[in-house]
Amino acid sequence: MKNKIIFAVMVFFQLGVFLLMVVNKEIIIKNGSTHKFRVAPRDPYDYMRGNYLSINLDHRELKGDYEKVDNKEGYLIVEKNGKWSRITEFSNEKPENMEYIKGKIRNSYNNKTYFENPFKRFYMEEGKAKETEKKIAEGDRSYILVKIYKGRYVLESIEIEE
Amino acid sequence: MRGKIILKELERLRGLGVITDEVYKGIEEFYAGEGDNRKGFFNFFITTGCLLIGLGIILLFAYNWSKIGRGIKTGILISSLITGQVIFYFSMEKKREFVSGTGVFLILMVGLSIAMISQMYNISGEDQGFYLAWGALSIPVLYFTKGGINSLIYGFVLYMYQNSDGNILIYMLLGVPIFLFSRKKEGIGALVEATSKVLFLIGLMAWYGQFSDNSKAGLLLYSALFAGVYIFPLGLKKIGEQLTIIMAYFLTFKKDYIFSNELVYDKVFWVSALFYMIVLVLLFIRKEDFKNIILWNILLIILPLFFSWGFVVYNIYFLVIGTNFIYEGFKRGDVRTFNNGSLIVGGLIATRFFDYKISTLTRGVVFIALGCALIAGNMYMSKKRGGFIEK
Repeated sequence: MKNKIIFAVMVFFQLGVFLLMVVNKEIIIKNGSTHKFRVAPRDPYDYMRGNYLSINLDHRELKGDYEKVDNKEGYLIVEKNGKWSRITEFSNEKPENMEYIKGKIRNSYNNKTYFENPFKRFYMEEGKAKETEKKIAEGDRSYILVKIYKGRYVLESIEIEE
Repeated sequence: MRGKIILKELERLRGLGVITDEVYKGIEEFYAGEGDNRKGFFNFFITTGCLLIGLGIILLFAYNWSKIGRGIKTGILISSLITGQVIFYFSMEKKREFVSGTGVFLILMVGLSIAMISQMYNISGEDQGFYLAWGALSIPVLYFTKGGINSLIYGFVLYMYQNSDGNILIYMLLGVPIFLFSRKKEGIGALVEATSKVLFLIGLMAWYGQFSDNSKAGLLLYSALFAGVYIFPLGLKKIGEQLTIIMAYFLTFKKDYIFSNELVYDKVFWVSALFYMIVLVLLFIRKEDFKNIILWNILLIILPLFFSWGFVVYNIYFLVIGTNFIYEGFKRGDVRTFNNGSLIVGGLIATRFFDYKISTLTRGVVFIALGCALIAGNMYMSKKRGGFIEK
């Protein structure tokens, strides 16, 4: 009987954690606002999740003055300027009436403060990541589409402007 | 079954006074032992089969089929997870010999389901959360299987957690189940002794390794060091041999780069080569068995260092020595030799899992086919022999 209870709890958690993660992400995709960030990706490999594009945003510096700290967790404010979005500021408190995501300050150097890139990986079918990386290396510009909802986000796709 | 029939007949003969109690007991023990060995073989192959199938499924998902939508992927993942749980439960209730293998499969499916969330939703965070969730959700499997191979996979997950800057306290806490659910109650002294020796070796390597920046010189350096550990009277002959095998597995990977002239100017390369030559001379003076793995490693290591096709030779090398062990084990009825051979071949197949230069799709299909063949073959052999002999 004891083993059956332990087994049932195990099944509950293994399935529950998986489903919770899926539902959580689907809510963001369904209700989130869309943002486009300019990026410069390249193509590495993860042994369990396959090929992905490692993404670098075209900006990483924050506006304003901050105390000199490394790896400080808080909120990154996202500003939309016409077609494109950028991460502009950092806040310790949850921002009101502004688009934001949970994130952190990476470090400060020469009176400049840098944020930790929240969109690092985009997983792609084998072969396609390399192809995309090649296109970008040949001069095509790329951007990512991100859905943001109440501070949580999902990197939905990577697009190429040919 | 065959043993059962013989024992029944023997019981009748004992009753008639044709054979003594002592003779009866001796024969009974012989068959019980044979049954155990066969059961051991069977379990080993079933577990390896389940491991291969699990790894194969992971590779198929890692391919990241862009034409399959998230909904279908989620459905397949839930089915895989539930299948893992169902067969694990079924084996616990009905087929105990499958518990270890189905446990391995379930742990892999738990890892896969969490990994696929990152793939489907492009989660960019650190890997520590992934390994923490995978490890924590696998603990009950360890409880039910009482360690064994499952501990090893769990240990790997923990190692990866710690490697991705995991919290040291959580790491230690997660390590408790390995000791708590460990099946083996004896030989702790030997284990501590071996661990301390390995720690000593790691310290030695760290000190020695600081003199080289070239990964190829480093490879030769570590191999030479392990050969030295084997040949010099440090009481670590077995560890030296096993670490040599582990190092040699690195040489089975396909590499993009070939020999560069820089190596010629690396003094660590020459020091390692000289050291290796001394070990080679000592091996010849001692007239070691020509099958000695260290001996062959010294002769073959030059190939992957200098030629791009060297890795092929190392794959064949492992396949030959592994198959030879299996053959010798079968011929002599020596379980240990047989298992050593199976481990060498199994290790070779497992390392191909991480060989990302080969297509994930090819690897996935080969893994699943091999796993199925292994399970089917063993079930067929077991049926043909009339099942296991119960003690």
